[in-house]
Amino acid sequence: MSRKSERLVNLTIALLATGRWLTKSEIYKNIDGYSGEPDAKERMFERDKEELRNLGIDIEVGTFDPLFEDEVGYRIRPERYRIQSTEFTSKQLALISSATQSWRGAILASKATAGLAKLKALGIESDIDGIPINPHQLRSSDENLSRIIDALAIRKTVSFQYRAADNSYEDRAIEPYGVGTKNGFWYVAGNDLQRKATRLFRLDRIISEVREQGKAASYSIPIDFSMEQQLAERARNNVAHLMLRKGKAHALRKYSQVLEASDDWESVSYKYTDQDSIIRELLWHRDDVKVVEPHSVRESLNSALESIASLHD
Amino acid sequence: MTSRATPTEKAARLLDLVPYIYSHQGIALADLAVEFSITEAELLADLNTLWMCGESRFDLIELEFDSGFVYIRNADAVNIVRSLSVQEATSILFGLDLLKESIPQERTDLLQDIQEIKTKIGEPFKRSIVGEPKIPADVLTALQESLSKRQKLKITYHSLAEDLLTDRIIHPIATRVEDGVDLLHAFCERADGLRTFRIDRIHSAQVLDQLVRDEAGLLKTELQSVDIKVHFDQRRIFETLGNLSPNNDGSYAIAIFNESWLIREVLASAGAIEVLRPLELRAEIARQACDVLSQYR
Repeated sequence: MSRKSERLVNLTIALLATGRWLTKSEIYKNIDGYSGEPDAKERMFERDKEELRNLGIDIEVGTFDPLFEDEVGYRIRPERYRIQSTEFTSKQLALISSATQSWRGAILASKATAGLAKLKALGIESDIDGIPINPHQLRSSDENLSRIIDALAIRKTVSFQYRAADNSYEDRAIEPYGVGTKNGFWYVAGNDLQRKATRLFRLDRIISEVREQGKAASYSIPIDFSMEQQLAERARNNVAHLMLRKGKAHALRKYSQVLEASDDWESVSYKYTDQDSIIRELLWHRDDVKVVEPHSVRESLNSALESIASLHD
Repeated sequence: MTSRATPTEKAARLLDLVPYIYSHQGIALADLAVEFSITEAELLADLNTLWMCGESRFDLIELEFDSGFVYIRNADAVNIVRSLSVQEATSILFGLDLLKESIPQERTDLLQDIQEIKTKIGEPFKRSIVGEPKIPADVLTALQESLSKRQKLKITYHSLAEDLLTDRIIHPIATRVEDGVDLLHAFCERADGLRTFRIDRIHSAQVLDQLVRDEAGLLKTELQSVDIKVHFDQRRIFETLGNLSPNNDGSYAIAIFNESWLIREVLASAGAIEVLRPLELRAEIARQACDVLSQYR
């Protein structure tokens, strides 16, 4: 185990330190750990290169002489390896440090601390005076979250089994566009390859392991995509005229405007998304709410109540 | 978590240790282990591996850590802070989003700093990542304080089942997550019994200068078993009701301690949920549906 990490570190050092292209034979000769038949060495080197690239280390391939392309060489340019922004103030580093606290014990905690350690390696002292601690917690013990973030980073398609609205299982394949949280749930948005449209998936409804498929950089995220928009509350564009019993139906009041009040009832205009949702919202509040308008909502509310009554007859 | 580190993850950590030790020459082993969230034993294993690395086998990295303090030399080629990986940048960005919500509006300096950091490390991912806290920071802070100091908490709670906003004095016992919902178990003085509160329905919270009662954990709540059938909208119903156990005949059993909450869920399902047993509850639902209907007749 330590042999392999040792080899990866040595390979990185060699490719960084070289001022010119290193050939494979030079690499095999100078770096411990490449042993066995030429084929075995070859496979080992290919895998090592792939793994370093997965760490975000950019290995360049080039030739010594444009006329003789048979001998290729490798190197890592220090300026591509190095972190881009280095100008953080002490206060900003303290804020980042506080931000990483929100992952305590969760799946990405070790990534957050590794990121913080890198920034501290820049030699900035963190100035924690007056920096609030972060009381919020991000929870996800879900390995699928980091798999999706990995895939999103290299733009690879992922596939998984998803729980459908009728609780059956469906196979889905998406090109991930973004991840985010809302109401304590994790979501991933992406281009659904079967439905050919952007769809939102809740992570806890993914019932299989998320698998990468195909090649990296196989799609691009549309320029007008915004995860924030994907997670935004659905617009309440419809208005109903309701009567609410005084001091009741608190959950409805957030979207209500009082028009008129009497002793026991208030007449309000209520904003809602669609018919199915308003029916559920109204039924929950039983006889603390009456629909005046629109007629269609009144009708379907009545037929829902009739079917509940006959179902339990 | 680190014990499961793959050779690649370990290699990444070794590469990150180099510039860190360079900028903190003489750091104590224990402090270095904390910075990288690993045990001292893991750190020693890391340093022993790193010791065997270098530009060639005749030109190895020089490390000194016998004294309990770590020094490094001859690793100039990798004395470079690596760019943040996507996972690292992402986890920091999520954290910053949440941190922002706990900073008072008047601290414009800090809010501006957060914006600046996000731009510096987050430009490539800005559109793809959104983190939002679901519970106000002041409620969370009060709750954590009350749990750690074992002091009573005064809350304004929105009870959905009763549809009432009430002030209660509670003795918090523990928090727990169920189906993505944060719950608080507490002894409630108003109900004189154990209750489970949804933390996102606590509108405000204030820690009181009184210790919680010890016997709070001893009280029991009676659970009632109800058999239901689900006709459509299965996923929504299963997610809302939580712990359903299947019966042999295709129906489900659910354990509840609050009948009025279940009645509301059954009504709101608009016919998707049918209560089979107990029969009195079944009749009660039919009666309530007719009651509501009579408002329109």
